[in-house]
Amino acid sequence: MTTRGGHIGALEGVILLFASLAAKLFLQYPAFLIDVGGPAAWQVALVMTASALLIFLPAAALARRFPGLGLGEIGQEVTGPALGTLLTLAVSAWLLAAVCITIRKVTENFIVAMLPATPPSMLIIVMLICVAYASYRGFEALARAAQILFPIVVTGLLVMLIFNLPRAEPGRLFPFWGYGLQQTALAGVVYTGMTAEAVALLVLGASFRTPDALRSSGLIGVALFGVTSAVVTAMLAMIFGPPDAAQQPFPMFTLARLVYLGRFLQRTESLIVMFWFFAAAVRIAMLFHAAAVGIADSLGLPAYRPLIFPLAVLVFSLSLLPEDFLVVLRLERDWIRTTGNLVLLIPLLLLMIAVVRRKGGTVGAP
Amino acid sequence: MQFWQWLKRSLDPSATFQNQAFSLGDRGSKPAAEERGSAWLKDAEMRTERVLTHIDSILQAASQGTEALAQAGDITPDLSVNRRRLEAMFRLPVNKDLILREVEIATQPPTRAVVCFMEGLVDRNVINRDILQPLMLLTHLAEEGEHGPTRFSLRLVVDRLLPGHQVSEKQTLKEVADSILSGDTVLLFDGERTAIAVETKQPPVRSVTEPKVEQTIQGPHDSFVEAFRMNVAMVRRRLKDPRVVTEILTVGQVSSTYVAVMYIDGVVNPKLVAEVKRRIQGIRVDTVTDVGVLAQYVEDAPSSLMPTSLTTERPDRTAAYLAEGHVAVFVDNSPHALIFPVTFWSLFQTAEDYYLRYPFGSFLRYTRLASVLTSLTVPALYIALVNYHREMIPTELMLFLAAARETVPMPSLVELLLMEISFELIREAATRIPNIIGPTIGLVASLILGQAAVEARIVSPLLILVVAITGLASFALPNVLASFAIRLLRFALLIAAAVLGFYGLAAGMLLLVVYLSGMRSVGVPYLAPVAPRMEGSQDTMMQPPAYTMEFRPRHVRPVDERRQADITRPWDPMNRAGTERNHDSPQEGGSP
Amino acid sequence: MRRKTLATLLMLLLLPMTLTGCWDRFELEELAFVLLLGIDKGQQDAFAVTAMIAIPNRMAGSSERGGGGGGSKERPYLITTVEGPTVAAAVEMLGGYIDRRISVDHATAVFMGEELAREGVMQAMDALIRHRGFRRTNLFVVVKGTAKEFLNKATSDLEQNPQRHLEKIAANYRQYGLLPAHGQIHHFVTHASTHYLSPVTYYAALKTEDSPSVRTRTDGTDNTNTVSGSLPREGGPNLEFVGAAVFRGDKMVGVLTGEENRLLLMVQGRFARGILTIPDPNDPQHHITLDVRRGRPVRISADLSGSHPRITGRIALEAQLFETSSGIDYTEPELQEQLEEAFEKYLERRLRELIRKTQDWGTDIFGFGYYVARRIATVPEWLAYEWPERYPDAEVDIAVEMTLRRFGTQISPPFSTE
Repeated sequence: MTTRGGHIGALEGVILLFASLAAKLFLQYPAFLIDVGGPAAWQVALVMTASALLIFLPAAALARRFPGLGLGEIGQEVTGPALGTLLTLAVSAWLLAAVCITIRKVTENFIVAMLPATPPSMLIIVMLICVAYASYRGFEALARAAQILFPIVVTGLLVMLIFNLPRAEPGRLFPFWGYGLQQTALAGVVYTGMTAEAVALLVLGASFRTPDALRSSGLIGVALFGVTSAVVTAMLAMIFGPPDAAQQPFPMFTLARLVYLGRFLQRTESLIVMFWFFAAAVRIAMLFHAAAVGIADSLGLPAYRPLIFPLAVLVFSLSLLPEDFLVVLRLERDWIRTTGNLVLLIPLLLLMIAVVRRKGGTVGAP
Repeated sequence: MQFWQWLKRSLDPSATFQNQAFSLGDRGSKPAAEERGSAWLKDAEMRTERVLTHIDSILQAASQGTEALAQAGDITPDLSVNRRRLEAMFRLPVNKDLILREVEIATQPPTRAVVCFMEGLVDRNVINRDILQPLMLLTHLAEEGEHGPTRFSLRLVVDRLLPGHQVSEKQTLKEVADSILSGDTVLLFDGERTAIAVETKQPPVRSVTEPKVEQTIQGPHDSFVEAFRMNVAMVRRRLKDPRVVTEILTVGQVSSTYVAVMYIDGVVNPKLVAEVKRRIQGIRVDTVTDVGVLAQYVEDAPSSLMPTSLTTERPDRTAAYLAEGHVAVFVDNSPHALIFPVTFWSLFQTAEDYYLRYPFGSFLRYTRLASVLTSLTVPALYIALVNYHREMIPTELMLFLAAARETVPMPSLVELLLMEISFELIREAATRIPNIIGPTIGLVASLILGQAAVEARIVSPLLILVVAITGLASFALPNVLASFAIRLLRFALLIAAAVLGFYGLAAGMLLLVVYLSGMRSVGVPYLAPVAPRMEGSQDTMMQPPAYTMEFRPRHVRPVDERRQADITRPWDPMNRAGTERNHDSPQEGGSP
Repeated sequence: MRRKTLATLLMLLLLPMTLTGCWDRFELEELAFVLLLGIDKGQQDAFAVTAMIAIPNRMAGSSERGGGGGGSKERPYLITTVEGPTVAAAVEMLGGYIDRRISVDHATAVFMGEELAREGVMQAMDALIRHRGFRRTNLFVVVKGTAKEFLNKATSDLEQNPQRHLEKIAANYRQYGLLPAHGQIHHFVTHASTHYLSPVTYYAALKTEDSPSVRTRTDGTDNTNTVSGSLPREGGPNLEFVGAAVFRGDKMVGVLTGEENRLLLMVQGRFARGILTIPDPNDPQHHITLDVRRGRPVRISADLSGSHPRITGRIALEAQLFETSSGIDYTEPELQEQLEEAFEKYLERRLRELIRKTQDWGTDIFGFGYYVARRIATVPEWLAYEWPERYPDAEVDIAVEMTLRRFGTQISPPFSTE
């Protein structure tokens, strides 16, 4: 056990996972879904949720087999120092990559939305300061902060959906079956990697009070996210029409710009987007923290805090690497999401090995 | 002649430092080396003498069994020696506070004694009537036994001659000195190794007055005073439970301040009491003058802007916190109690919230929250809106602002900082100005300055509004420390918003929230019971009705969690079914 | 100690940064706010952009400053036209002679000359969608003549600036039904990008100098069967907002009159309220006026089984009697029924004419496509069906149900004993 302390319950876990998944809704993610699903994008979201729930079950079982351990330690326990370290480092690397991509996308979003002339490095530095500080304060502080900020983020989301309700045209959800049931189901399964962030919970498994808390926070968080993303994609399709929505780089931002509450209160997207900052920061901080703790665990380091600064510098330089925004989008779609599926399979692999080698459970419980 | 001296002094370039001018010493010279040396030597001499005496008496007592050994002290039977040592301890010829009155006790044969007390701390009537009079004049009343003339003995004095209500025996001069300093009168007898201390305390104390800061319209109007004993009594009056415990610790090598730790045994978590006591006992400091100072030595995050302990001047509030399972700490000479642990939400609460019905209490708390958010963010929002997100301002207002800004030479941020700083100036000045002219000056400053600034086109009119609202809102928070914190944080957020607009503001708020989330007050998460969520009383911003708060707040982990029965209104027909079921459930806990 | 000094130094270094150029920081007085924007075909270049820029001093200061004249009827804005190969390039050129930085953050509407609209708007629209300053909530108004002339001559007597005038008039569509429900750039873009329906938008014009004060109507249609630029009136602001511009794809093909626009709203279920006047069925010399409101929700269904798509529907309206100039007492049950039937007949006839008109244009402005899409399972099939091509052949049959609910504050008409 590294020195991280803290006790996270199911509620905090749910909120953290949901916030870190839902932050994607503010980015290009709904446009991806509408692109593959057309008017039936919400069905894709539901299929994806179902398969993500299925694939999270072995992860939960693994956590239950090794209560009080993080993925890094479990990997060492199950497959030995060489392979275990490799597998869990891969997970951490994936988390870091997700952090880089997210931070760049968020920055691009803010540049388009609010600060067109500000250099992206400035925004990335500010975001990284927040993230590194949150990680430094520890997982407990991060979870509580997420809990405090959660209502604000949800309000920001609901405000947009509710005030744009008059613009929604249910007719745009037709033809009902989108590009056909087959493609919908296939896309749903392929995009299961959209929820691969759930593996971060497993990485931080040692911070959970009980393995049950981990399991329920993972399952409920993913399910909540699935329902929310179905609602959001349906709303976007209804408001923009599928072809227009699929072309938006930040559909939710465009949606925020559509909020028109009479002459006095209009053009409020900057304020709404400000609330998204919280969601984005919680997401990035959680993934970043998970990556740091994961690396510390799999390398057997006694503390994760010394890693924060080097990792932050790494993230900073990596996130500035892609030349333009479209490269970022392609990276996300073609690499992060597809490898996300593999990352989700690592816990399954570990579980199988653990069962075969009779590790964990009542035998190997610490 | 004099003129020439003056001229020389003023022309001589080397005369910047005058040799004849008084100085406590230069930076180069060792700090008061000689002065310290002589004082130390005298002290050491006296201490050595006392230690020798002590060793003597121990050697003497060694043969007489353990009881005598325990009573062996450094008081000698020689009264004059004792007297000399006391005088040395208290620097007597110079120091005029200690009174040493030598008397002769009218026993057969007469015994010499010294009455020692501190002028000003004692009740002179008690000394005259109850100490000097019986010893000097009324010894014959004790003669009525058939033993003949009264012979002096310590027992006689204690049992028959001193009508004082608290009499204790002291064996060492250190104890004697402590007693004298706390206001007792100490008697030293010729030929006795034991001194007698009689309780005669009457320290200068102000009477109980109305609270100054935490005023209420409804509810009690008494507040703590400087005597901690009275404060403890005020709380105890409200909690008539034998389990209410007051432990007294001493803090400070010079001040020897009494620090009282008060809690309800059987309600409070013993670990909490132990931790608070451990922290207080761990303090190594010369003086502790106030709870504010003590708090800085004891709190979890003393450099934090947000307080991690609660300072209150209200006995009723203290009692309520004790009943919930908190620990209260009193410091002698300080008219405040310190409550541990504390959560963020209690900064928004006042005693009055509970005396009013719950909707009013909740409304007031939300008003306070709104005012905190206002004073924290409005200047930052203004700058972010005007400089970055002008599209959010309604067009007409924006054009009006633009027109007003055209005549102002400075950037909005400078304009705002200027006004904020002058507001802080007015505020600080207004608290220092004597009471009578204070309001006038404040009015003049705020009205005239604002008007003049607009007229002179240094600031735009809307800005006055922003600063005024911000300033006003910062007064609404009942907790003084927290409102200071808000005043300072406001500037931090302002700068953040000036650099990156809403992005900077959001980053600032996020850092603030993360900081608060990671804070703890004596092991209790600062944002409990909201984050982390805990069961039990959810008395945070929304105040539950008094009759539904069945449990004590769980974040303080009380030993006894329930504070009232499930059915608190058994007479109510609405609850009849419940009454029968719950008929003989005992009414537990103290007053809410 | 050392750390504190370092922190202080750092703060001092950062402080000037906050005072001077922070990339996106602009003081309000450094900016020139465009209120309204006009786009026309340019004479030398592709586009001519006309900007109405606020002069804050004159706009806000009239009460306090402004020389105290008060009587100075100077316009609180300046209007300028500049040409460029693209809209953004033209806007950029404004920087060449306006001393303050141009900001379109507060623009609320884009006017487009009819000539350009008929040639296609997407090229100009692209700038409006991509540019961060413009927003999709901006109104998109097609103007008879050129936008340049429109903006230059626009006066609003009630409001200080025409921007406000426009916003209020746009908000009135629920009250009068003279403008389409969808007039924002957002609507135009989302409608144009799908096959569900064809976009329409606001149609505005200046008052023509020689518009007759009293117009003799011969066709027996409603009073509102007129369009911007030909209202029978004198005096008042010289802006007219009645009717809608109809687009096929991104090219404007025609104009709807106020009355046709109301019919459009009725089919879309967005008709809130309006006054309808037709000749009295029993006394054609006189007219009868109803205050019509929306009734139960519109029901429309499509049937694709036949060779032609068939659209059937029912519109329910509720009415209150407003004025009967003939003096006939329509509270009699059979007369009431007669009146309702007359209105139903009238509206159905006008609706058929309108649908015929749009089928000739080849534009499904009603959104029948939504109902057709419900009958089709997947997107590829829907795209292959090519609804816009089939709309002209569609059989559309919309029935109107009018119910007279109230008779105003008086039941029978006033009469004189003579």
